Amino acid sequence: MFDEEQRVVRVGIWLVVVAAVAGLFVLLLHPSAHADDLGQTADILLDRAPLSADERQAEAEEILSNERERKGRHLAGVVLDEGVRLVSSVDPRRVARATWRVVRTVWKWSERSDDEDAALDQLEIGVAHSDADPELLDLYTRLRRRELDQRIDDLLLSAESAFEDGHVVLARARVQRSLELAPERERVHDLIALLSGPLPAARAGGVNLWEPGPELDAVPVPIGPQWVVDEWEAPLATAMLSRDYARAAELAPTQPRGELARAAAHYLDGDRQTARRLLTLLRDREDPIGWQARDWSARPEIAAADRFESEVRRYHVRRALGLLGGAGLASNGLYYRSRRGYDAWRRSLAPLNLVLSFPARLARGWRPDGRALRAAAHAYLEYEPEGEDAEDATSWLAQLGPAQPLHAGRSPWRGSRLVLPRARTRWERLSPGPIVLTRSALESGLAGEAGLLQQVMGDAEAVLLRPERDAVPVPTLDARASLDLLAEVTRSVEAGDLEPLRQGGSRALERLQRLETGVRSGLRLVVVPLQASDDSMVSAVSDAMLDGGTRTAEGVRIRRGADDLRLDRSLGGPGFVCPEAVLCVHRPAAVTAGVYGAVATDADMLLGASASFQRATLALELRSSGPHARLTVPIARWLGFERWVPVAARVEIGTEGVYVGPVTTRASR
Amino acid sequence: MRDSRLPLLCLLIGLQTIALACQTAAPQAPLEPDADQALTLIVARLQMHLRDDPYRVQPALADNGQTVFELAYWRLGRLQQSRRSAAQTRGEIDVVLQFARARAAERMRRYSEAALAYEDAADSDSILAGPAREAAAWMRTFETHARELETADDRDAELEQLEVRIEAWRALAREHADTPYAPLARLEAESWEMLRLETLAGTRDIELAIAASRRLVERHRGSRLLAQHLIRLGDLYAEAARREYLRHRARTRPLDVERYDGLLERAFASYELAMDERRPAMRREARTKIEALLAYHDGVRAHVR
Repeated sequence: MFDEEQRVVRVGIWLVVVAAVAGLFVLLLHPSAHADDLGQTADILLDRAPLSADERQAEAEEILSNERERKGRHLAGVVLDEGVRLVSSVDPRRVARATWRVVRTVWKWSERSDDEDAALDQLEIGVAHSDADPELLDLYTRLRRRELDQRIDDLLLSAESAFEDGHVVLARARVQRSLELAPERERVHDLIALLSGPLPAARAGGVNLWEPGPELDAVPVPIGPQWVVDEWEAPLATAMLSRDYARAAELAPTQPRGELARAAAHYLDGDRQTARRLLTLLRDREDPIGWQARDWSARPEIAAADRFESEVRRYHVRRALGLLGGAGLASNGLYYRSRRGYDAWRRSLAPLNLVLSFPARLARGWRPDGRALRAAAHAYLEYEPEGEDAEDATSWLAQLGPAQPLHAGRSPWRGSRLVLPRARTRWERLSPGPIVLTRSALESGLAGEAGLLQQVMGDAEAVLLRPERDAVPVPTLDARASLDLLAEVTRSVEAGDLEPLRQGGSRALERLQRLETGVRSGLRLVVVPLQASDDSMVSAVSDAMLDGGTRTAEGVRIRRGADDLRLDRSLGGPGFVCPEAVLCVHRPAAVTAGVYGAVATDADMLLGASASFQRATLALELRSSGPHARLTVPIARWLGFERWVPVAARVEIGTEGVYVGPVTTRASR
Repeated sequence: MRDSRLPLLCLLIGLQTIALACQTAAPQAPLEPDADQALTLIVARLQMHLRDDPYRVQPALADNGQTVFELAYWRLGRLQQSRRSAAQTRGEIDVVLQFARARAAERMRRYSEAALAYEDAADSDSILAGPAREAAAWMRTFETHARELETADDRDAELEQLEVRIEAWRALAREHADTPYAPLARLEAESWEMLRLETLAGTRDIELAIAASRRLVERHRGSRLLAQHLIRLGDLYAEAARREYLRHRARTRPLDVERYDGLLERAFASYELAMDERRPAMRREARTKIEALLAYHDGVRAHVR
């Protein structure tokens, strides 16, 4: 046993040594700045001639080569990742998943990417100026072919889906475009044949959807028995057109056509029940009379009773499903053959849902969305106020309560005036927005001299700097101080000394740049203290426990997974939640630390603390099974070859044993 | 043992026989694959849809994508041609065909044709003659209101004529609000209002076009074309934002980023309101417009700091 552990330690040490040697090589071979480089840079800056065709070809080839390299790295990463997982535990499901992931990555190797578009951009200019170079032409033709193939595949796919959705005109336009691009493709002709056939609902009765609409009047008039009008039809039509529906109902003969006309006459006369009875007798026919009967049966006035009955049934089913699995199962539970349905059922049967959420929903009296049932009950009472279910419909309406307006809280109408609400689409504005500097950022001195800011901040967690054009009676930074502050913050963000919360560095720099432009054009920064979030911890925990997902309150992140509940508290981090769409900048601690706790449904509990420095992490945990310690060192990152071999070294010591060996970087986080 | 099973077997055979007999006793009437072309069906379908409000409700579509009125108009025309080719004498059936065709033409806004057909039907001793006379008078009024505009000397005169025409249709809709013709008049007023908007958008300052577009939306809040009007309003805001950027690009003036952002915000809001529409085609159009505008804005962002 002891020998075995020693052997594992030796393997780990070997790995570290090999990685260190490889890293040294990388460092030695890495290009560094020489005096000659400055001369080359000057040459590049002075050279303003446009790229030649050869240079463009070389550029394109380099783009493609980089793309291949990137794909290779990705494949190597996937193989390594799955390999390490399999070494740690071999079970058939994991093997199957790993194999599938590797096969999928290999399969996607030949898929087109944006890099090919960039390469084509380079080549297209060269080909436009000269087509003499056969190598250039060959590369260009190959890439162009691939681009075209993909475009046609996309077009045909969207044509098929448009046809299935009943958008025949759209489908026809897309197939037409595919035909222009690739007349030789078999699939295009198959689709043309499909579009020439009957509609998906098999209702077109031989109407040709492909021919571009011949002038209907130009079609020769067929003189034959089908155009003969029966004797009884003229008086019946006269009665219908003169709105004498009682007489029309009398005149209609008992043959199917007459019965359909009688149903229409009763309907138009307000006798919807008789109309519904007559239509029910006809709607199973597979001819235009049956199709028309089915169409009319679906009219809201006629279908009100059926619809109400069906909505009541659906509501009961959705309520039962929702009690078990929440809104997700209520919406998707009936589609159990689909992926969404399967996922909803899987989540609903998770132990934590059954133990916590299901009883809580029962106690709370969970109800599904009742809009459809409310609408059906309203329709029923409107069209059949004396119907046998009228009392039932009234009671449902009382139970469901009043309808919420469609634009709850954001109606675009003030009387008869249109007032456009705030857009829901997320987009990056050009005008400068506010920024938030946290206490840690200000106290670090990395945001420059921040005397006024600290004074305004007082006991708050951060300050908000809001750009304003007009003078306001609150503390404001003058232009010089604003520009100095922004310059310092920008420099610190670029250097990585300050970090934006909730968004990437480049987006943060863009916002800082816009703010600086705004200040130069006359905006002033108004300083406002920002208090910590006052979300209730109790409600955050109960919401997370009952409804799932992640909640944050008082700096504690509460996350409920399928079978565990986890609480994390970062020590020394910002004590508030950064508002959405606002740039918040804080000072990341050199050594970050946190405490966390988790409880799982199998009664396994965990209490732990972790600290990390330069992405090396030491974690100490107290588990149900006993104490546990874990040290993760990202050697590949430190030595600069994480791009190629994304591994870290890990040492774990606990009551279950000792593990020394590699983990993939993703798994180590 | 065997004896005890025999009555049960007999009962089952008896039930089966009764079931078969019931099946054969109620034979379904023969199918009529050409019933679509029958006068009864054409008239019944037309009469059902004549009650739909043409201003608020999308016209019902037939299986081939045409509106039911267009299809009925065509089929009734074929029946008329068929009778003419067979040189049949004029009878009640011809009055019915003419009257029904006039009703379809009325909904297709072919007022002159409808007036002629009604007048022809009125010239008979059918019970349809009375309603035909009344409808013909309405159609002549509509025809007068719908006539082409006179050639205008300039844009101002054209816009003035448009305003007069819009007011005439609105007055007609107001004065006859309780008749079935009021929705048609509102539909016409909306069409002329849309034309006014496009004339302004093509020739005048975009702010005027935006104001006209807002007026169109506000006046026709109940229209079935509301989503279409909202998309147009979004287009105009997006166009105004583009112009703002293009002026900056050509260095005729610095970019007013707040105005640009405000215009874009309103364009997105208009498209989003159009996405509340139930028709999938309109929702798809609005969604595509939002995507296109986001792509355009990304290009602008790359150039403006």
